Amino acid sequence: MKLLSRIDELILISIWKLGREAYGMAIREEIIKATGVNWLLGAIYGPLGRLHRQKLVATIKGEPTPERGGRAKVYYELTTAGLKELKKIQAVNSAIWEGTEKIHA
Amino acid sequence: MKFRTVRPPRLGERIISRLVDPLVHDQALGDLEEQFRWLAARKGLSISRLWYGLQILPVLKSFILDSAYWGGAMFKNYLKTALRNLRKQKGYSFLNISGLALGMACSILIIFYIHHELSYDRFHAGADRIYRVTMQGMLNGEPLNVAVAPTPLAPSLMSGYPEIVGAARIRKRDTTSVAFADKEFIETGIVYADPAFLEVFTFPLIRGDVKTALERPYTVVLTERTARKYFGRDDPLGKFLKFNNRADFAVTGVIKDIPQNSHLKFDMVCSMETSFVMDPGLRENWFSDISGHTYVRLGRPEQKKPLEAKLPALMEEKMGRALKAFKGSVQFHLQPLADIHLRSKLQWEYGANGDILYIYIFAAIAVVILTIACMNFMNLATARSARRAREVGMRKVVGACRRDLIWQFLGESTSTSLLALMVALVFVKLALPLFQSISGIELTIGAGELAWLIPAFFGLVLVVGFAAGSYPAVYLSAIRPVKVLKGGVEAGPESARFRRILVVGQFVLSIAMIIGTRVIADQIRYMKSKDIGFQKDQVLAIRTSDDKILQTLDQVKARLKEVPGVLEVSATSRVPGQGQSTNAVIPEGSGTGTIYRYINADADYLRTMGMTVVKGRDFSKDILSDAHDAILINETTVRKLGWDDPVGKTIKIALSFNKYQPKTVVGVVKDFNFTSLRNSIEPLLINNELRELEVLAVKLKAADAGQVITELKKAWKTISPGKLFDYFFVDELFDAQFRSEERLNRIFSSFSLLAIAIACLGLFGLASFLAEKMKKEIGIRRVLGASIGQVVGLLSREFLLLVGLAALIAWPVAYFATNVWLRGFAYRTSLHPWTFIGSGLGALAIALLTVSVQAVRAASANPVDSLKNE
Repeated sequence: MKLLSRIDELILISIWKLGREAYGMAIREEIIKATGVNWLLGAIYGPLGRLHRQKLVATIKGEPTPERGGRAKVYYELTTAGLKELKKIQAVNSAIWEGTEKIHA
Repeated sequence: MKFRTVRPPRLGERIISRLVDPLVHDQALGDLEEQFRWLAARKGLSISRLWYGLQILPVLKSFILDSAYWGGAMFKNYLKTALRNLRKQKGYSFLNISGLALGMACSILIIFYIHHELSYDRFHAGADRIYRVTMQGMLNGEPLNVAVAPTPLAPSLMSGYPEIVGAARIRKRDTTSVAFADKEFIETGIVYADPAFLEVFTFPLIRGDVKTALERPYTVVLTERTARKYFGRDDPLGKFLKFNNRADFAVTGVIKDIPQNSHLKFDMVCSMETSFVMDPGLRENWFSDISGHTYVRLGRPEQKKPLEAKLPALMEEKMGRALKAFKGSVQFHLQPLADIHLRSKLQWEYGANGDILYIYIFAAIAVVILTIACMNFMNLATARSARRAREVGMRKVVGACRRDLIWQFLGESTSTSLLALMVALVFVKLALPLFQSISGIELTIGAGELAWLIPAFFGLVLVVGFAAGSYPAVYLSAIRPVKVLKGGVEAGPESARFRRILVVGQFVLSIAMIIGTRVIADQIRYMKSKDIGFQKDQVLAIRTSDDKILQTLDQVKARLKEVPGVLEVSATSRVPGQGQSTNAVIPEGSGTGTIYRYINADADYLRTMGMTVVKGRDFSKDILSDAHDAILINETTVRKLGWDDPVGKTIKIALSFNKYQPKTVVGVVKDFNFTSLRNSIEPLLINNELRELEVLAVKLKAADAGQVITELKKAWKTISPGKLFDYFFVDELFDAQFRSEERLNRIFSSFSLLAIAIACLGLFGLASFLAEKMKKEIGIRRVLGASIGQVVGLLSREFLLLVGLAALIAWPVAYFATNVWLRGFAYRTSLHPWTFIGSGLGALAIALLTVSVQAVRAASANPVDSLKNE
């Protein structure tokens, strides 16, 4: 079984969470919220592109808006394969945490 | 309104859109801009700008790493193909590299030479503020341009013009025998100079005091080498040198040896005061004996113009009256020190100067030879383009764009040129002794030279690499992959035309250089064989400064004549080649004076020198009045003065200002060249006066000169005991004037040989390429019965036509260029058509030989070998 890298995993989860609002900026903010690390925007596109090439996500072009300098947002959505992958991740994660005590540190 | 200004930095946007995958950058830019505005609204514009910049960093990082990785991989591939090509085609690589290396070696040597010539006199601190005072103008209707200035000029300049920081005179002293203990040498490089000399110029003292070294009379400063010659390792300070067995000069200083690139060259400097003690009149006399050079150092270089404007007043005050008497208008000029070596063509220069014309000629030769070598490279590269065509096609198919290919080929040519530089440096090292003997320049390559040499070498590599690689790169990168990969590609007609033009170009340049060499050689031969009006062969001249000889001249001459093999002996002030003095004279029938050259000689002079009297008579010992009354004049003088019957006329000769002594013309001497063949013959007086006689001319029988010289030496011991026998041959001295032409000839001939050798290397390559391309055709022709001769003709016809065409173009070019050069000579050889035809034929023959080596080989190959593959 091939597993995704951590960042791919985080992005995939973010897209799922954001639903119809998942575009570059929003995804980054979601990840920053979760990790507390200030990810560079550029660091998001690499994995996004990779996921896109693996057909785990699909893109939908939105309307151009003035606050983006007239450029269109590109929304990301999980494909069926992406959804399956996400399920797998969840299963793996809960399986591996199963039976552990809560960590106090 | 604010809305407009809140925009992400343009540069950042541009970097992203340039470097980021186009699939991503549009959304990325949008996301970035949105975030940027959000940040700008909350934290200010500068923070958000900083943030934007930070976002770019990883983009840059990945770009740099990416391109380094792929660039490295491509570079490895390029290098591999380049090396493979070099290795697989050893013959072509050899031709290419050796051609380029020869061209580069020539250029490097010429760069050394030019750099040396241009560096003259620039080693003096503040050299741009040092000027020589010259006199230029008209005197008696004739131009007067002299490098010398009157003796009292320097002190008057020093006292009257505050902008002059220092003024120094330097004048040459005649040949002197100098002795210390048992060591005695004849010194020709002795000068007199002012104390300021050591401060105006940068001739650093190693021993002694700058301020006082040249203050007192009878003091002398030596160069290091001279000091070593007389004193070895001992300290020379305070020791005494005996000049001419008479005067003792105290050594007061030692200076560093004079650099080679100094126009002032000397071995010893005596104090100027010494010459005033010996000739007290000299110090204040503005007119007599103007033979010293005056140099001034200004406070600032811009003071030159205003100072020069003040000098006419000085000229008028000091010399105005005399100038009026000679209908003269002469002015002082300030000549920049750095101009003296290459740009000064005055009379009475300090020494033989270089010529800027030769710098241009040599620079042109370097460019020409390098061009020929680059043309070779282009030729061979385009001729072989078929071999590279498939590679280019493949590269294009897998995604190389034209720019990549151009860079690839330029890179290849530059690395070839780098290889050539290495080989060239070996050539330079090997040729250096030859170069030094021809040019007379000793090269010292230290850290200072390396500082400009290494960048210069790399510049050369880049220039050659790009010049040679440009056309092949453009040509090869334009190849259409479809055409190549579908089936064999031939070098198109366009590249063939280009190659022909290059071959013609190479041979135009080579043939022009050969013609140049021939013309220079012709001119030298012409000058050497020209009737110069006297017999210079077999005449020995003995320098003497012994007064006793003059007093007992008759006995001395008789004693010398006793030596077997001696025909005639004559005492004179100068022999031809040594130059002559000038004096003011007033010829009969003209109210104003004029300046004529003169020599003093005894009655045997014409006989000894083989000169002929065309009118009147020679001096005679039997006519007693001759010794103080008679002069001989040359034909030019007669023509200048327009005299019908010159014999018996009087010419008044100046003894000092406004004091003249009348002399009677007793005869007219056939014109003879007294100085050099660059100048036409000028009026000359031979004065039968027994003063200033410094040379004994001895005419020898055409026999073993060595034997006679040994005998003369023996006789000299009894005539002038304790004095050196200092002699030279007149023909050698006279021919020394051809030395610079002979040097030019040697350089030109070696370079034109190289030029044609490089051109032939290329021709050889082209011929072998053609032979290979036509291998099958040749095979078929041979099978069908063509003779070897016919095939050779087929292969070489085109090249011969090209070389013939080159000759046609080279002729007018060479004709024009050689004419310009010959115009510098008063007596010049005519241009023979055979020089031109012969050079063309010579080039043709060499080209034929080169091509036919390949052609014969191709033609005599067994057709079976070339045809069996089909």
